[in-house]
Amino acid sequence: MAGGGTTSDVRSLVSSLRSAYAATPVKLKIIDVYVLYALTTALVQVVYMGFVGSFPFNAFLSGVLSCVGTAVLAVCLRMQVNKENKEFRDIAPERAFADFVLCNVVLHLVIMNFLG
Amino acid sequence: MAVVNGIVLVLAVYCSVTLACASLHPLSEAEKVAAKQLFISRDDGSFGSLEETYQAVKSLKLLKSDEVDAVKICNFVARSVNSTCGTKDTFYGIRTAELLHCQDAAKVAESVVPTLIDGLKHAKSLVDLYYTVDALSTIKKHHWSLASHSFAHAVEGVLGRVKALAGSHGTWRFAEDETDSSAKAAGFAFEITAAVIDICGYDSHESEVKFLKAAAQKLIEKSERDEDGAHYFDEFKDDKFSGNGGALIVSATVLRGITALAGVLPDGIKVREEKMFGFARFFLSIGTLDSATEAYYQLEALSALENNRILIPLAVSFTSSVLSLSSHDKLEVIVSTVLGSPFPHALLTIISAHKVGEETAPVLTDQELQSVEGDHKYIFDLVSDFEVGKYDLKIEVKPATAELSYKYSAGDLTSARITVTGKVSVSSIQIAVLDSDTGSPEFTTSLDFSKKEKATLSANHLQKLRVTFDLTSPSGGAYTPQQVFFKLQHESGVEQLFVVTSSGKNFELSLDFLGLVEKFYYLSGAYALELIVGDVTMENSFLWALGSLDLDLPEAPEGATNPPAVRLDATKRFGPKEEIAHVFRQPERRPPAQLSNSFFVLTLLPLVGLLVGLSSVGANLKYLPTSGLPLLSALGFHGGIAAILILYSLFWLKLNLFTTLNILGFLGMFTCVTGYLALSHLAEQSSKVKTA
Repeated sequence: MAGGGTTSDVRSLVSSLRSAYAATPVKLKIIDVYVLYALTTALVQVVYMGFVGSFPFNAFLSGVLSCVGTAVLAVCLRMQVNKENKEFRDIAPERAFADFVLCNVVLHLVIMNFLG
Repeated sequence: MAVVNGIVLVLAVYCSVTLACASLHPLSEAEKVAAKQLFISRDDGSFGSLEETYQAVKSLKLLKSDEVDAVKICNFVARSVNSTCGTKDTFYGIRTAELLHCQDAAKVAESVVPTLIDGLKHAKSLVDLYYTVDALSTIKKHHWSLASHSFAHAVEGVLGRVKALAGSHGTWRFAEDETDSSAKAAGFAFEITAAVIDICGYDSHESEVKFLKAAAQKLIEKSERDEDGAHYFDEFKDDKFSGNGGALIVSATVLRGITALAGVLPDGIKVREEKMFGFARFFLSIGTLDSATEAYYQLEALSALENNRILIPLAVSFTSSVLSLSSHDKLEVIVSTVLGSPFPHALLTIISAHKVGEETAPVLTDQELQSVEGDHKYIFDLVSDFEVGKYDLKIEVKPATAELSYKYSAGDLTSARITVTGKVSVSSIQIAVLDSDTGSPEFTTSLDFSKKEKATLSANHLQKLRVTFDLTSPSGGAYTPQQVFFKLQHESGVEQLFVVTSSGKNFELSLDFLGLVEKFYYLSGAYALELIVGDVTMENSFLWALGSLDLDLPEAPEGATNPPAVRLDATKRFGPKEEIAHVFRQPERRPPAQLSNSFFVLTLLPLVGLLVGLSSVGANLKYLPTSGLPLLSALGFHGGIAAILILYSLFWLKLNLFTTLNILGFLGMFTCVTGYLALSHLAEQSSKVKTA
């Protein structure tokens, strides 16, 4: 590939990615937005830690782990809800959502306990 | 040094105790202060009743205290004494007014005279008679009443009534209908007699007075004696006429009566010297007093002892029983009455002074003490005659003139033990290491005591250690202290103590290590050397660290005894532990509030992003059921989740884990049921869509 074509290549790649993503079901998009939200919040806290130090460390850990944990759970939910994913075909999306809610309840009970 | 000081102190205390036993010791300042504290005045200046007030005023006067508010008490007496109050209150009121020289005493007295004279006829007991007659005698003495010339007539017959109550052995009955007679009642009888003689003279009642005098002498002979030589009357029962009994009050009452009687008789009363000293000893050795009344009776009796016409006992005391030669202390003797008033007219002679523990001739005999004008002390300069040591002194105390000898007596010879202390000089200290066989010195060092020099030595088991020094007493003679030790302490803590013996001034200790290896437990290494010299009479007792000795001993053979376990220092074991300084954790550095708040807002921003993102991907509430049970269950499900989240924030803020789990259980069940209903409804719908 020639050097002059790089920008247009990138552009075509992005547009093809966007069109491909547009076909994704709304449910999965919602989950993606949620994951993005959780990770951004975690990032803000990490940046704050970079500024002022990690004291109190338990509060920092709970904050970040709350975000990361819920993001991981959301990713799992996405895997189970995705119809393309043959592996989880037997699991109904409603059942997956109930699992997601239950896991979050347990995760946050622990987070709150650790928050101090 | 502390130990030596302690020994000196113990000995000083012991000496002062023996002094107290040997001769009379006046009432001490501490006892006077303690007695003063028993009398507590009230707001109106009085000390309670008229009786308590009189006792307090009299006692405080004897103690030379100025804590009495005379004006207030005079007012109190004027208010309380009148023709209607009893004879007892009248008596104490008149007596208090007499003590304080109250201005309106005459007015008060005049108002009660008719009642008193009237009361004489009705008096049933000795105590009533005593109050009445004594009050009248006081009024007459001070010419407080215009009717005093009629008192003599009024008291006629009183002595006859008193005589009628007499018992067989100098004791008396309180009233006619009493069967028991007591020494205490006798005391009252004597006082009544003295008061009657005061009022109408001696001549008119000669026969009764002679009888009473004989009874008094009989009673005195009946007093009891304890092993310390104290005389007293032992009656412990109370009586309904005069209240409290007990040896102190009974003895005081008897003594007061006898001295009062002796005071008005032209030829006095003869009482043996031993008896008077016995009484003095009893009242001085009462010890701790419980009540103001007891203090009053003690002081009243002591005042009777130092102000009477029978015999006044003198107390002899020493300012110090330890005298230092180096500070040129002098023997100081104080002669005083029992209450501590100085007696300046005495002649004091040291009959003999013996050194304790030596059967030699007395150090001095027949030496007169000098009287110090104004100071009321008698002194004697010891320096010329006394060596350091302990001495037993016998001192004769006599009133200066024959005339005074009839009035005063200091009893037998006063014996006292004094300790004379001085600085002992230490010289020619030599430490030598000798060859065991030849005895020739291989190493010799001399130390200077004034600089407390130290030496460093080394020796082996084939050598000897020799320590020599001289001790000289202040006068240049030989001196042998009670304790002379040489101490070797191994670095492991094992101690060896040797007594250093003397011949004359010269002290010598020789240690042959070959014979001592077993005693030293074959312990080689560094030994600390200490010389300990101490005695009660030595002012410069010392513990001198002489230096160290590096000792080389052979290896311990099989079966040799092991060195004993070194005892821990008791002060280390039981003494105070080191103080623990608490270090509090420094608070962590916190970021500025503005930064934290701005990051709080930043963490909220992604939430806004989430909402924007959701709307942009086209999220909606299309599947929310519109009616019936499904709507309720869907709302319940979401409400349940919200409630759980709120519960979590409460858990963070204030709830504990148990409460939280409890509530969570209920909320979880609720959310579970509603969630099941809501989600199964959704699943049904989607399957319907699929099949359609």
